[in-house]
Amino acid sequence: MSFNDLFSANSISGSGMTAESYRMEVIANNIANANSTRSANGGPFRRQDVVFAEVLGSATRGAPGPNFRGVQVVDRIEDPSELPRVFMPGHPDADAEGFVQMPNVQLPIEMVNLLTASRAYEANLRAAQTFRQMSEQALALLRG
Amino acid sequence: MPMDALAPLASLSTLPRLAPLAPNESSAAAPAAGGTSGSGFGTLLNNILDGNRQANAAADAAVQDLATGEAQDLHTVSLAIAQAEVSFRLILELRNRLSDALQEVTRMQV
Repeated sequence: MSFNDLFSANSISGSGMTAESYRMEVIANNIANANSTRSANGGPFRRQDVVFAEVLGSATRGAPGPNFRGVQVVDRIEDPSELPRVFMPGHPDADAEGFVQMPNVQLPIEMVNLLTASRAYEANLRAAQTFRQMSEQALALLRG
Repeated sequence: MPMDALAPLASLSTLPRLAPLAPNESSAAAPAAGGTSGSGFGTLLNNILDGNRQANAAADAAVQDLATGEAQDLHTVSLAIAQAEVSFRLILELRNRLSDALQEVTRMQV
């Protein structure tokens, strides 16, 4: 265990914040593309979501088993749900019957996800702050 | 004449007189330092200082990334700085305690 492992709680909270801010980016991208009918894969934009995974270190610290290293974004998946069809004959992407396939982004759902991501970020931030306060209180023991 | 002078010197240097001294000293110092293998308090302190140096370097790199626009997110920068600060203050408090103890010893009546 190295000296900097004393502050591993800091980096664990940091990884949580990084993951949550990535989720926020994905949600913001979903909201921004709520009306995009063209995407890189062809067809309309599909709503995306992130997959998180726990990260474990190999070294044991105190308790048996691997120690904690935080969270990691492992994948970004596309929502396979059905794309709504909207009747817009004047649209350049309309099919022969005049229907356009729109993205499967639903703004209320994205807003709720955004709120969840924001609260999770806040929780990680609070954990880091609390850890810092704890360290400072422990440091106060050394003060004469 | 020079050959005669060198010969006893060479035989002296091959004598294993100094070799056992070093292990003896370290084995005597090891229990005093809390059982760490062959390291005195100085090396212990150096290790801690090295950890602080690493934290400082990480904070410097984070600030540099922020200045050059390479930083991906703000919290990494602030966390690196916070960690460097806390670890520095830990070392500062340790040093203060040490120097206080030293002063206490120097004030001692003999």
